[in-house]
Amino acid sequence: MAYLPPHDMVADGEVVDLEKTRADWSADSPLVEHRSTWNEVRLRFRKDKFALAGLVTIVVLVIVAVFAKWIAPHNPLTQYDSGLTMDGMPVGSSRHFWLGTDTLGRDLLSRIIYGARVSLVIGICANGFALVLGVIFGLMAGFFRGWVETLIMRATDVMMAFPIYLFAMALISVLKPGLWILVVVIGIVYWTPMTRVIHGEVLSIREKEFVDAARLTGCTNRRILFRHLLPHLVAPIIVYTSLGIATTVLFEAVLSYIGLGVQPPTPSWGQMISDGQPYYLSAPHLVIYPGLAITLTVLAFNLVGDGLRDAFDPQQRRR
Amino acid sequence: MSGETKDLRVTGEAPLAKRVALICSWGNAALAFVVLAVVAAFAFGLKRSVDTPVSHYDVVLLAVLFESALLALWTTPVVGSAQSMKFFPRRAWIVFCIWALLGVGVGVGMLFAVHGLQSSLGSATAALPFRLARTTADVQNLHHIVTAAQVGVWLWMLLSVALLVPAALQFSVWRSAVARAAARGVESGTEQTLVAVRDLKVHFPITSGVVFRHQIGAVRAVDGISFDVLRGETLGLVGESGCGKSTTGRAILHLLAPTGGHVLYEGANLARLRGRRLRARRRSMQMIFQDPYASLNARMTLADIVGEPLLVHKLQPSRKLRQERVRELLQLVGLNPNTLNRYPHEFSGGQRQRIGIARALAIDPKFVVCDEPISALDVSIRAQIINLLKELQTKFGLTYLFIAHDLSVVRHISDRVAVMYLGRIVELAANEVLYGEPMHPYTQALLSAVPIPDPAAEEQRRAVVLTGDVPSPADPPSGCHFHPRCPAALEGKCDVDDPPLLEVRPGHWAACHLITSADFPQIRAGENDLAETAAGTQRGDD
Repeated sequence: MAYLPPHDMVADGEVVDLEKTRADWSADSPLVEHRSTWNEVRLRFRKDKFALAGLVTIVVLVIVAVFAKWIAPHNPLTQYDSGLTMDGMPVGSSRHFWLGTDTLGRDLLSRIIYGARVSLVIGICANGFALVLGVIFGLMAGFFRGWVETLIMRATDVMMAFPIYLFAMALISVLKPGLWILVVVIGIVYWTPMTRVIHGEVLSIREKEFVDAARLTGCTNRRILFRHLLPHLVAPIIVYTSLGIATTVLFEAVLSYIGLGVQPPTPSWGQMISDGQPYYLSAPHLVIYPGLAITLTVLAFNLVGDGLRDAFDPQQRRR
Repeated sequence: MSGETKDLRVTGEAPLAKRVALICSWGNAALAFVVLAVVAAFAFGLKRSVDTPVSHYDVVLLAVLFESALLALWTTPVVGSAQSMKFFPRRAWIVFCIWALLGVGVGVGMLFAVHGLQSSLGSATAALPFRLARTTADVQNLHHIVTAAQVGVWLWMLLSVALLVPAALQFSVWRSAVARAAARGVESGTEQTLVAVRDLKVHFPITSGVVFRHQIGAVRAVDGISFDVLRGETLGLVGESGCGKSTTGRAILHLLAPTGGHVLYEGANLARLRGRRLRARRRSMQMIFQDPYASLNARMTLADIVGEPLLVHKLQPSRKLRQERVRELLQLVGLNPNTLNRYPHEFSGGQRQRIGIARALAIDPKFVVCDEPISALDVSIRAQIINLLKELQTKFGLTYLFIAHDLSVVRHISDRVAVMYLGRIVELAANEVLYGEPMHPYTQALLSAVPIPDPAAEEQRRAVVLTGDVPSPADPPSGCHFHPRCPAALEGKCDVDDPPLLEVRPGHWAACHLITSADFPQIRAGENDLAETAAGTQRGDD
């Protein structure tokens, strides 16, 4: 039989029914239901219509990017004879080319669909890279303090003071432009905001008593960092990642626009805008549709990020 | 009186060994900079003696100076560790070896470079980005400079080792002398001593400046306190907020690194432990925290929170058995064991405090610091937690250091009570003695501020009302910290001399000149009416 403490020790201010308590406490009875933080976050997130819309958009984008080969109506690299007018101008939307063609007679819709691949790969991978760097540096700076903190945070300041577009352009022009170089460069340029956020969070969390308690129970520094501090950073990490993806997609578009991004003929939204720019009066669709794609993607990630922030921290909500 | 009084302050710290160790460390640093100066002077002298456009020497000069500066720099950690007397032997040697390797590497590199110059004087020099040497004489000069620098620097490294060996030896003599003195302090207590605190100091530095951060002062949160915690007792620690109670508790468990002093747990000095050995020692020392909302990790389930100590100490590697033990512990503190997959936010404050207690008890500690465990709880729940703590104490033979600002709670639970004021213990006595016959003026004032739940009695009694505010611990008063507010302070004594905590009668410790000094034995048990005593002193002086 289970040990039962005296009456005044059970529950706060409840009248204790010994029989019932004994039954509840026995190992045979089922575990009491519990709500995890995740469930609550999910519930709150589900109520946010805008964020849900953003999430749906992202899911659609991902599906489109992954299955581009089957979804795209044409090969994005083929230059169709029927895709140009007799004067050599791109054609507008038609039954054959839904969004028209570009200046070389390639199907615009297919190119936009394939361009989603580049944008998403860069958005996710570059951000993941920046995230890993930022989290590791931020955790170390906040937890170990001292010279580690000084070194990392001053480096962050220097990076932030530097014009990042110039820095990225310099890096890329030294290296050979390409998809994975772009990922690395954007990661190197964008680790600073995450480092700052994580550093600030760690500074406040490490002063809480549960960290002392963990230390007292004999946890090593590594265990405290990864089992106690990191789970508390999940909310800012997720939020800033989703917001960061939007920035990164934009960054890629800018770099591609100035010709330092993904090299042609691989389609990329920024590069498509830059190619279509000279024709924006006669063939505005060349600029409008890729621009819409960028706007939609950035907006979707921003909406999801905002929604997640509200879901994780209901007190900060301003409505 | 003074013949029989016991004094817990640590004495006999082997001053000679200390002096030798410090002189050797500082001598090492001084020597480093002498060598740097000599090398620099020699190099610049040679440079001037050669009548050539000199710019191409500068590179070599810079390299030489860099090397000696590199070697001189390492003395900073040596002197730093000498000051704090903490990690001399290991750290200092590691740093020295790294620095020496670096220095030798740089030096050998330079020698090779100059030799290479000599052999490639003709056409190859033109290929260099700068023209280091034009003629054989130039190369010779460079060779002299570099060789002289290497001889000087390596000679200094030998001398440095010659200084470091006695320094390290004397350090160990000094440290063991301090440890022995502290251990003597424990023996001078009773055999019943579980935790001995000797001369414990925790100072928080106040710094200023952005780039060159320097210390401009210190908040003396705990300023040299000594006491024993006896096996199986509950020692209450009371004082107003900001007097350093919680800091004391944390420093005893070494959650905060003490600035000075020692904590001995069963005679073993915690100050000398770190890493794995400190964790192992802390197995028998646990803490119950003040805020049950902040002390539990909100992202872990009950099973993880209570089971973690078992896991990290590898007491119960099997998940199933660990869960069994967690169930047991939860029952022990009066929680439904079937809630072990719940999160802390699903419990009330009192229940959370019980979780904290279960976690503290998971690894069978002997000594538990209760840091205001009930002050964050509702009044209706306080009694339950107090009773739980008492029951667990009798069941497991726990020893408590019970920190609180609530005098009546401390009276209820404690065997002995220590009163703190501004980082120091002013009085320590058995429960009934302290509450019945307080000796220290501060204790008397503190007790007289406790309301009596009887209007008639409340009106009858004479309260000692203190005037003024508690001084800042960053700038504590001279002498007795309490003297500016003490109604019986003696001018010329209390504001000058620091009263030690002395045993004025068996088991009753007090730090007050009026009580402990042989010249002023005015306050005695039984005649503790402060105002009268003070008046008597005045009259006697007249």
